[in-house]
Amino acid sequence: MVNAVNIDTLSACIKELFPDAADVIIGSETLLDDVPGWDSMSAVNLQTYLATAFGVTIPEEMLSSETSVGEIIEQIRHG
Amino acid sequence: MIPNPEPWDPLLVSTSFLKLARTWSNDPAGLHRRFTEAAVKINRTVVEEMGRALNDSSSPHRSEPNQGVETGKAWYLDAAKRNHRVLRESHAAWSDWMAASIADAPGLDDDHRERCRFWSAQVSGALAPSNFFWTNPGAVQRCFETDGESLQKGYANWLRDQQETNGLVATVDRDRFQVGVNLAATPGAVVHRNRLMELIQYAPSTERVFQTPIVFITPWINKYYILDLAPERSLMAWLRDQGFTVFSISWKNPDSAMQDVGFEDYVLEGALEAIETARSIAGTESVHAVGFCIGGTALASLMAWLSDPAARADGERPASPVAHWTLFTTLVDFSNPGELERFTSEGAVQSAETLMERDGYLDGSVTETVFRLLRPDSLIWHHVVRNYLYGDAPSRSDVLYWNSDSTRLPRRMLSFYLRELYLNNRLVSEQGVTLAGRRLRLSTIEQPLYAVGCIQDHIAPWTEVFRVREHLRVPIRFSLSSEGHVAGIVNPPSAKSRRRYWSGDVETGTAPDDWLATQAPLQGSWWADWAVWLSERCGPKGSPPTPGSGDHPVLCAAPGTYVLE
Repeated sequence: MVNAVNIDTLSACIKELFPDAADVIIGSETLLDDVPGWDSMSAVNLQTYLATAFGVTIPEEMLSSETSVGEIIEQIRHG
Repeated sequence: MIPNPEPWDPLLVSTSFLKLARTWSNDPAGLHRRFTEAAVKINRTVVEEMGRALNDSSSPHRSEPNQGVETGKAWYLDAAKRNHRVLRESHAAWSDWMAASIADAPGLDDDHRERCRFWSAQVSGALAPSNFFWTNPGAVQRCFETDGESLQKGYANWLRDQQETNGLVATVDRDRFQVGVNLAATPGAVVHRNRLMELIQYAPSTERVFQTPIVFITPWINKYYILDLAPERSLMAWLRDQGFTVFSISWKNPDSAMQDVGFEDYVLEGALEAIETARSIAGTESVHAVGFCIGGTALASLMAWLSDPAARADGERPASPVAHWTLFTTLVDFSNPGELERFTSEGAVQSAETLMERDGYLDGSVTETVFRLLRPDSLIWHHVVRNYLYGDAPSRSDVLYWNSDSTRLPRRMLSFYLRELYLNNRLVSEQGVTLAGRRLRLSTIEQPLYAVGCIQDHIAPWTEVFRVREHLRVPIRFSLSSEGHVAGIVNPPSAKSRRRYWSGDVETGTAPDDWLATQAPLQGSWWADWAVWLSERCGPKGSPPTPGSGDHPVLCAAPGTYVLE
């Protein structure tokens, strides 16, 4: 399942987690800081969400404001 | 500080919005124009959505809802999506209108403006359409996919929170963590205990250690183990592995009997006694002391207390048991203390003091609520949506566990902290603070300092943390993390880290932005830079000290007993 994760999957996840991002076009280059609603405590919530959705625990230090959605996809796929 | 507080409005919410309305009375046409623009946007949103629904031949709304279960589900899900879109855009238009009306209010002073902004953002966040089931399409879909089980779980989560957390939405599954087992689990021993604190000495993991021990003056708002979370994120364990002898204070969770414990007791019975104990056990003349947040303010106060020339009859500066020191996200100058200023008006302090009269302390639930209000999206509404609307189990985050492991704050200490520091900024004022008979002047401190701030810190803004440069005459090295108040400090080095930091010496008279402009950003964590700085100052290496000593025998294994109260 994790290998099937792609930009559409993760875009849907981010929009579910951050409803204010509903109209934002999320691509591989989109940074977490560009997601409406992202703040200094969001990394913890995103880490929990991704662990539940994909069974992959991404280190919290990887989920910084300057992390791109593409980097998250790679981490989910390859660890 | 705003004079003449209204006792019925301790946080100056109504006062601020009344002032906002009055300022706009000077420009009613401007206000009317803005309101009309927002109303037009909302109306356009509704009309456009109606048009989409009517023109979409595939819309389930083409058929009646009662045409079978699957058609019904599609009908309701489609309705939820359309309603969410309309309400989301309308909510955004209304929120933008409020924000702009506040930002552009003619002649409104900054303090009232910021209060209006803060509280209107709270209302806006609470009214977000995604917080309500039928306007959260994801929650509706989850409900249909699970045949309603998600709502059943959501209701159970809500019921549990009413019973266990007094209605505050749980952010973490507390059953997943056990202090001393998978949190605060770095091996060590309690080597000293008084009414205020237990002192933990961590067991060494290297054959040789730096001579000068490190003593952590941890914050007493929440438990000490923020710096000893899961083993791979523990600063205590990491420092130990770099060859440092590490001690840490674990504070007593105060009860009514401790209502007269003051800030000076935390400084002297807490910080100083911990330092003297560590010195004694390690057999050294001095230690390196680290203060975090309020622990840092206490440490800075102690450093000034120790440096008071009046303490010695001959007027000479007394020898200090602290050779050099570090401050993590610490305010000593409370001129602009960040978002917490919304809760520190004269009226708010009086209200807190009234609350504390009955029990002698401020309950941890109050401080937890205040801190959650500083980050409502991440610490309240996210969990309301996930736990109640989606029926998810609360998270398994060690940080969120610690965040909810709140502590009581004794009446006298908190009154001093709020009045003399937040309201009156006495530590850096001409009037100054007299603590235990000594006048505190930060300018008398002689020991070099390493200070850390965090760019996204909303509790101790980094530019205000940087102000320590204005008040000290010692060499200072500053590290700035890209993260927030907690993540910026709990920041283990990692090849995968996408965090950044800037580290450099700070010359006297340097402004924060000017300093930052001359620093190159580096990938990862400032921990390594700090360890280098420490290793240059903590002396040669030798055999580790034994746990405890004759004067300070081991009392029990870490994390001790106070942390469990």
